[in-house]
Amino acid sequence: MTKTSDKLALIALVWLALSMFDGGGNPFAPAPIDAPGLNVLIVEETEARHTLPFAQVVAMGSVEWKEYVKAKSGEWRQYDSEADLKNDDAKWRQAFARPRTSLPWLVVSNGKTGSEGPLPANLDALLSEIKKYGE
Amino acid sequence: MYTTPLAGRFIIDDSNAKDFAAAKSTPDGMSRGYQQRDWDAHPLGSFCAPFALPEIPESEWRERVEEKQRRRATPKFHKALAGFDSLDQNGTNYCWINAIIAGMHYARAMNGLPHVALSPASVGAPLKGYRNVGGWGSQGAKYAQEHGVCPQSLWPANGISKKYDTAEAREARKNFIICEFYELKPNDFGQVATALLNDFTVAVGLSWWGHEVLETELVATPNGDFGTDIDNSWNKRWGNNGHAILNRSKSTPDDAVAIRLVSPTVK
Repeated sequence: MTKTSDKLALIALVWLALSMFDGGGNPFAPAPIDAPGLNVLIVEETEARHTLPFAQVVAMGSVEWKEYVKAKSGEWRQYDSEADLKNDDAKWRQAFARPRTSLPWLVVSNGKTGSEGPLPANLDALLSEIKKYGE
Repeated sequence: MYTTPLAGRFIIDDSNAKDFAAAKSTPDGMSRGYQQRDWDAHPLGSFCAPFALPEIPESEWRERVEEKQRRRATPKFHKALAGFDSLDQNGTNYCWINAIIAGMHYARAMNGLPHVALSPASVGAPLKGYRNVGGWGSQGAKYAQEHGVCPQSLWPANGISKKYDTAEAREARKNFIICEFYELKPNDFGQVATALLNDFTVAVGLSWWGHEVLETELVATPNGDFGTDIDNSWNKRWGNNGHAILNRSKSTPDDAVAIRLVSPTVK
């Protein structure tokens, strides 16, 4: 490998690493929901909703991002972490079963790629994250 | 100061509540049916855990109401998104269970689940021995938690008959249950406001009206006070597409239930 190609590889690695820690999840990950189309899952603890910053309560409760998902012919779910999903579709059970490190938790997928991570701090950030995968 | 736009809205307050409380104000073919809860026989906590969320200070309500309206972030906005109508108790005395079932419809909509029309009578009828009599919401919520609710495809919304209690209906109702709900303290508007600001609808038994309805959002009124938007069970032709606004004193409940979790079933 030439020195130039070494440098290019290093730059690419740094760029990849930075992309993974941009707070909006990992855009290079394989689709976290194994289904075509835009799918969005929020997992929360409804009993602790009052402990969240109000902007996050508004983000979860707003129909703005839900209308966007619907307009893209996508689907969304918002579930309590203790919900029993035995009567919902397999794609939601699979997404719900993925590891989480905190609540509320967001999973976005377009069938090819997606992201997962803590729920963004407010509605605008949530919409922005979803729109990355809705175009 | 922010106030909920009220022009053209159907409003019930201290100036006109007496008219609504009169039996003649109930639309033709409609009924009420809230039976005042006997708090001595059924004290707070008899049906489920009492509401435990710390109350949001009233000084914060207005700002929160404004932001939730601006970003369309209340249960009421999910009704249009999910595409369901107000229920129609159609002459039965089952307002108390209609309010609970409406609350389940909203909870499902807020989960992103497709709308499934659930049958109030599938709870009210067996709970009341197939009689067309009144009751209160906590009773109905407890029954819906223990036995579930049938879809209207198997049990008509107002079908007070044992013939609907089939094996298929008993199996289907297991899929539509209230998993968790709270009982709110009577006469405590602060708890109602806190539940609504946390996106839990509240089924309220209103002694002054002899009626139970579902409160779907907190509203700021022009006099600097607060009230609630209600979804009634007199079909969508009543009020504003089935809704009205009650001022604080008329919103303040006797029996009150906030629905927190329903079972997520797709069909």
